[in-house]
Amino acid sequence: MVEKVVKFIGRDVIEENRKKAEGLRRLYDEAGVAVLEFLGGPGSGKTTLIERLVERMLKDFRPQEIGYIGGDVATTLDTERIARYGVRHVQINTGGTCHLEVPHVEAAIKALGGVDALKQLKVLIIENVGNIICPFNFPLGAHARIMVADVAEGEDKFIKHPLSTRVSDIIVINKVDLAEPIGININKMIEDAKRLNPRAPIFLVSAKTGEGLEELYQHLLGVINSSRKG
Amino acid sequence: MHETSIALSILAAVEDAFKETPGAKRVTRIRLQVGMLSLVDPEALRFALKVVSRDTPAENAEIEIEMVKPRFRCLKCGYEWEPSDEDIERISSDPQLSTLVHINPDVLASYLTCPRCGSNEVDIVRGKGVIVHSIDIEVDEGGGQGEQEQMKENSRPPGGA
Repeated sequence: MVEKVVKFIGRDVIEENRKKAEGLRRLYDEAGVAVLEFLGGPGSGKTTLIERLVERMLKDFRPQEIGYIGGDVATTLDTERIARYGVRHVQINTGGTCHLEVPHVEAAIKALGGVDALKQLKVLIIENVGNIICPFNFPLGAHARIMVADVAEGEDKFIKHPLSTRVSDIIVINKVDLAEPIGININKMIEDAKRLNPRAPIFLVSAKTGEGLEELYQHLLGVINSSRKG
Repeated sequence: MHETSIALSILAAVEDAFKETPGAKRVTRIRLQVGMLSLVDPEALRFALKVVSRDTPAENAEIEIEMVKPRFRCLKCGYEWEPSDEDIERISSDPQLSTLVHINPDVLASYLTCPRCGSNEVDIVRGKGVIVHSIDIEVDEGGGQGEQEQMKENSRPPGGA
């Protein structure tokens, strides 16, 4: 009596996961939306920086053309802050996972209204879970991955996290107004980041004082425009 | 590194196959082929898979893991070769190189040269992935086509009908 069936599967799950991120990018390009992903340690100032950037964006874009997906273990606090600007928004709570993955973003896009909703957007901001390591390992198909590291995290941030630094497209050193009172050598941080990642532009900003924001915004605007053309 | 994420993907592939099988009761064995360039720790993967498969049809399945050696092919002259055990040890124990390879094994290809023609254009043809090869499924005594034919066979008296 046959009690057992041997079922051949032959699926490479690593390859499948890698293809999923590529699938997301194809979706964004199909919808004509530029996707900017913000990554960085908890408290590095990602959300505050995004608030400042959205404020600036609203001079060039309408609120309904901007989307925001916030990733956090818990709470909707970050998304509530960005929602105040009238942009399309959705919060993902991972419930414990330290990073966003493709299925999270797929669910968020569905909640926003799917491809049709994406088509209405010119730019979509994804704010990953506050974590300087794991999110960098899980691409979400973004046109630009922006690493946010603040001076209060210490001068050694970049050399201690070479992979995160290497895979980023844009590097932002935030809270530069604190460098002097704390005694942080920003030049050392810049050197380290440049050595690890020669191609990523580095921006020194303070989301609080506004220092460096316009230069960062102009660069992001360039990314948005060229991503939407391609 | 992130063996839990991989375990969840394996479980999804296993559950897809399980659902396609008529009369399936439970999964008794999962055969995995783990490429050495995936730098996945097989024991961490085994543990993660055991944990995530609790309360699923794959709970308590035997997990068989075969480690697959990488195989490279020169895109210029077509020569194929496998690295020595020493090469593999060197890659896995170098923290920067092993992390880069883990995220994108194709990065390794840029460090390789063809032993025959010296070209830098090398492709990795095997050893990057984690393949869910096959599973053994315990099926319901009443289910499955092949199974019913087997029952007819057994019920025929010896010497023919």
